[in-house]
Amino acid sequence: MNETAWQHALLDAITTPQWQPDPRFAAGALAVYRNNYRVGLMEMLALVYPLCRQLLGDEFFEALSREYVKATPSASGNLHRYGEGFAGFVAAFDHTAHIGYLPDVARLEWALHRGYYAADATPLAIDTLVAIPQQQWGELRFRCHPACHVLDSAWPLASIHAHHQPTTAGCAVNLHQAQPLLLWRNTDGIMQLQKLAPGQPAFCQALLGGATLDAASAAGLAAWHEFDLQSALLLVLQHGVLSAIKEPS
Amino acid sequence: MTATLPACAGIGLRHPHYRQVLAQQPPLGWIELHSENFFDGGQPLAMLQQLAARYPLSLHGVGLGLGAAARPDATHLAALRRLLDAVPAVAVSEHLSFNHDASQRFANDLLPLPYTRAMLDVVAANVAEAQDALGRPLLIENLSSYLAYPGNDMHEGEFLAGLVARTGCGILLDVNNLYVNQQNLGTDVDAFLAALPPDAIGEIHLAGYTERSFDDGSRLLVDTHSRPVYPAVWQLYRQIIARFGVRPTLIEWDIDIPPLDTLQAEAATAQAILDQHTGAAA
Repeated sequence: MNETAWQHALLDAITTPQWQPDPRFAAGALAVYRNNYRVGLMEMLALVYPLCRQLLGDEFFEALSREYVKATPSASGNLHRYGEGFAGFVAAFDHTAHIGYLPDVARLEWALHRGYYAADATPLAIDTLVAIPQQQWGELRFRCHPACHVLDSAWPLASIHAHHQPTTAGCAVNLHQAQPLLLWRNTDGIMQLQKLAPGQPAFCQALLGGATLDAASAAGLAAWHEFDLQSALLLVLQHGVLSAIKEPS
Repeated sequence: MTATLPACAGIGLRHPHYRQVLAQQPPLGWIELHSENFFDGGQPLAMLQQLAARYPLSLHGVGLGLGAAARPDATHLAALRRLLDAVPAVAVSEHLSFNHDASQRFANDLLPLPYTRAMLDVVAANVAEAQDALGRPLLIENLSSYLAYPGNDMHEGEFLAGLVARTGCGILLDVNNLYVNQQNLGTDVDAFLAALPPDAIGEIHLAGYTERSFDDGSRLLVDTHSRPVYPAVWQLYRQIIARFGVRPTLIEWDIDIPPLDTLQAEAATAQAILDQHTGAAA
């Protein structure tokens, strides 16, 4: 159908990084659509990555997002889905390679953004777990809260984040201190950063991935020989990571 | 029977005014918000539920691209369905525009489509698919366009009428879009309006445009939603109300958003025009 080809050509003309005059489309009209396309995506990146923007400065961030938009077409009609690959792009970008923590800051911001909009889930009541004989706990698998995310970063992400918040601005940051994080959403819908002890990132990651409690515990122990299951389990219960017990399949 | 929007003036509610409206609960006839900002849950959804408990709510989509030669994105439709299941919206609308192709490449914009018989078959199937997935009829909005498919064999009004006949959808008539198209593309406003089935028009939009000039001397009115409604658009709105009768009417403002009372004043102007018509008809 000619109509299909025309829509395809118009999408090409709008999204192609390099402006190319096309006799089928008036230059002024194409300029409006090309501008809408770029500005819309760049504004979305600025919204999702405010901390990266602060770290890089407005001008540099804008230049960086322009490059990202050139390299990364939109793959969803929902603008909130745009920008997932920004961390990887930043990591591979020559002019930001010297800021080692920048990709992990971008990963943090993407997880905060997705977590903020993630679907709702009721936290698992401790009573529900207590009602099950303890010798069966090891075989349990859980549905987890969709807003939760683990970032096993070698950088002090919580301190970097706090350093740039209005209420905690300027607090000290020791760049040599790793701060693996659990991101979770409180009952007001605000995303929270919880620092994790050694072994806990692997444990949480395994639970989020659908592992049994035994397997998650083994993952925690494999990562850290003094991993303490009891405190780790309490931590995930207190932060609403677990939402429901999965039926055995 | 499905509830409908009240036939009075409402405002498009945007991020800068969410908290103020929730805290002060000003008298607003009804409100419209962008659907995609409330996928999938959390604080945004909770806030929307609070707003829907206080005001008649219209959800306006910008991302389905039902005018594409490709089918609508099933993920997007499913997310919209979950939203409609969670929030009591009295109206749900989308644009007569496209934003993607079959390879799932998107431009997050409202792009014009060919108005041909072949395209009508495709778009009617898309609208029907969306309405089936959502379990309710949609209002489909006429578009502001800066260019047109060279092989059109009907105009946008006839295309919309065809969609109504085939799918049972309603029409969201954007007066600013119609005016912008008249200025940019020479759209015949009378022919457009004459083609519309009056009973299908379930909602009207009003907004402001921006004039842009280009190096080659050409100019375009761009549908920026960044200004008060222009006098010429108010005039066209009066004619439309005189012709079709009162309809739920929305003030849209998306860029350089002014204080809430400016939006309320614009809505009051629309309300006065609606009241005038009701008075004249009584």
